[in-house]
Amino acid sequence: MTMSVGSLTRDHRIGDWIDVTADGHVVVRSGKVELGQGITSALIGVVATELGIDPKLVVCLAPSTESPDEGFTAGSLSMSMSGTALRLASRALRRVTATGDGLPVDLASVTAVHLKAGVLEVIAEIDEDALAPLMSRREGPRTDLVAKLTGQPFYVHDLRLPGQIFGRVIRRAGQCPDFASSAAIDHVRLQDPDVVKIVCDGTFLGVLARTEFAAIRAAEKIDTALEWVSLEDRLGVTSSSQESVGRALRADDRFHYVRFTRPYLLHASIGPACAIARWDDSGSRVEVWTHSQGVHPLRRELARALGLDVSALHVAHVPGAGCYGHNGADDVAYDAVLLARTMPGVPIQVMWSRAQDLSCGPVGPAMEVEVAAQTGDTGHIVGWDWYGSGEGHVARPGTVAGVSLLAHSEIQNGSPMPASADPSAAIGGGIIRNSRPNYDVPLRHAESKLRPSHIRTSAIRSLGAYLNVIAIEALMEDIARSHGIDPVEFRLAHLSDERAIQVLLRAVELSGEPSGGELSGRGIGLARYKGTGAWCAVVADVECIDRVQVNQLFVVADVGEVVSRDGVLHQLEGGAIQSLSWTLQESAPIALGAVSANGWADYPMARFTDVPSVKTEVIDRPGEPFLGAGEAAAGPTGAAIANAVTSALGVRLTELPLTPAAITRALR
Amino acid sequence: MTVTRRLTINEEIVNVESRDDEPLLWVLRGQLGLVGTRFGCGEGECGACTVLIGGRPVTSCSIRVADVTEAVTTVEGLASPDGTLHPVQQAFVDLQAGQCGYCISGIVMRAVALVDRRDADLTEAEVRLELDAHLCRCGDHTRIVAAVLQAASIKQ
Repeated sequence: MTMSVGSLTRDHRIGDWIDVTADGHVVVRSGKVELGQGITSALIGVVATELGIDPKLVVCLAPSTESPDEGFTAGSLSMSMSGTALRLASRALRRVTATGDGLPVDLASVTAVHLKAGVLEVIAEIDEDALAPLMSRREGPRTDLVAKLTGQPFYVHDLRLPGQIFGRVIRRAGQCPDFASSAAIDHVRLQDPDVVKIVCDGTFLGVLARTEFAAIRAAEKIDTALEWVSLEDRLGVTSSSQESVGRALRADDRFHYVRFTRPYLLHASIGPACAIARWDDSGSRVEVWTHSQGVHPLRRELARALGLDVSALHVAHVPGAGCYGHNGADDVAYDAVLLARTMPGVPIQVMWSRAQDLSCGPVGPAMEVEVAAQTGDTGHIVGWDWYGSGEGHVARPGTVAGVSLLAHSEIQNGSPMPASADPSAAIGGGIIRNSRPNYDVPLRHAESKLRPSHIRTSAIRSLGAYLNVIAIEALMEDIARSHGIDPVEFRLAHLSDERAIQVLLRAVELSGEPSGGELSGRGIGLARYKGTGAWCAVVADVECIDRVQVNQLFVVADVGEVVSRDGVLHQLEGGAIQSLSWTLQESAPIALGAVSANGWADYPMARFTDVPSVKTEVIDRPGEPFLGAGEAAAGPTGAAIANAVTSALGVRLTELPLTPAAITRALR
Repeated sequence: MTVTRRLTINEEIVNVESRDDEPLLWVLRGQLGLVGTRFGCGEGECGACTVLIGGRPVTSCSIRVADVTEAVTTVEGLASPDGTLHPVQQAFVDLQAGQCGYCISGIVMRAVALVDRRDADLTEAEVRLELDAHLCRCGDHTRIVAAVLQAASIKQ
């Protein structure tokens, strides 16, 4: 059996990942960035456990382009990639220092020779079965929380470099300024002594000012003073159509069918996209501070856009607000680079406005899924079909043809924004993600259709898995009900995956008896993320009086070996609550070929009174590969809620989100 | 263009230069370097920039410096000078409430006002209703509510 080696490559030395300082601390280098998901604490836990040392002695460096290149921090892969690499590097350090099992590594004895040893060569003889931790688990407290709770500078928004000034871009989604009205811009400059300069390149427009508030006010004034032209009118782009894939599917008592749609979803992070850039005095090298999900891919994309060698760029990660996929972080970094290029030596911090953050960054694509199943005499499924369609789930830098940085489609010597694509099946796919049921059903036909993107779509937490799992689980419950079979029994009759069975049974046990009265219902959702990741089962109890109120969620997952139990519970619970919000409330408003949300009123999300009590459990599997937790709950939670609503109302609602209006329509 | 104004921030009297239309938020984050109060929307809809003014929670993006007449407390002013955390902050640490944390300083401020005002018999439903002024995108609502309830019960 080939052992998973995570992000290790042939030529990695122990010292590429782990260093030991003269004062006896261990410095960890990972390419995976902290997005608020707690990966830093988990990686510290891996190394502390393997070396048998106090987690307080372990420091995890913020990734930069000097850290190992681990691509993007995405796809619930950080533990399997970086966690596994660090585990093996630590295990290798243990070997080269000849530390016996059960003993802590003596940090004082670690030499440069040890750190130069190749990880894969040292651990060549370890087989996968031997990967259970040798030492008792050492989970340190989170290092970030006290700083956040006491208001210490933490985010890139809070960073203040010597001589730093502030930039804002003047930009509207789906529109561009008509420069016939540009006299207004000079007027703003003259009016405000704090405005340093106005930068204009093609239709890319920015303002630099000595204070952040001066930059905000100047940008607002320029925005108001300009005439704006719809890009849709200019380019003749039409809105995406939502017609069905057009399959004529027969409906008889042995043929079961469901079709689900989801709208465009916004990342809607609480803090807008922000970055700092500083060119050196000669204007030949640039440093960037960013909350991007991938410092190496961003560096390569910036180099490509600027026509520079990558060695001219240094990109460092500084946390932003929570990140749930490809948001505006890369775009705003390029904005900062372009604005800072006009003032060599001066660090420029750029933050998007709330309206820009909602409407100008990439959005999660709308999607449509049809699932059909044929049952035999006993109700057992004898055939299964799947059709999925929608726009691409990825437009990350480096994954599409052309420069995928928003301002590059605006500057004079730029290039049009490349079309969104769909990730390959090898990394889980986009539209097809989780389209294959985890049940023992004969798959007869599976077909996906990638539609051209008119709005810039890209990855949002779990990609197509969310809607596919909802559709699959809806069909499973509908078939069970139509045959009068208990939905749990029906699932078990089609399941041989032991770990799936265990999470399902535990979630059912945890949920106990449903409390429900009239118009209340219970639903279940179950999936193994990507077919290769974590297993997760969710039970939802809902009440549908005038809207869907989720009263209780029960979440049980198996993420392989657990390193940071609290971190896993956090990720599962957060993923479930975000999915609840998508399922019940979220839909990006679209007008003239662009997102038209300008503030939170245009994009309602779950608030505290919408969120139920959530009981979450994780089944620990010491020695099993790390599987990641961030996206596992998205599909099962949406599925459990959709199924609970059907159980409460007796009607299958298939257009997300399940708003009060959708419920009224369905009941009419 | 700017006018010097005297404010009481975290029990210290400070002079700040502000424009007529300048919201408190940008003076806190700018001149005063109190970056723990965070910009989220600028429209008073997300709660990220909440501070206490005269003990009451106010979104600092939507009040002009010129209109601030009472003492201001920001998240930096909650802990004791010796570093002892406020009971609300301590409860958030104990229950590990907060993921990305961008929303959390605003939520802590409103929770402090709530716990100071109403310690006895605070119900979960009341806490949720009060916190509806805040958005949390990471989905940490359940732990946050539990932390506020714990802080209230300790104070009692």
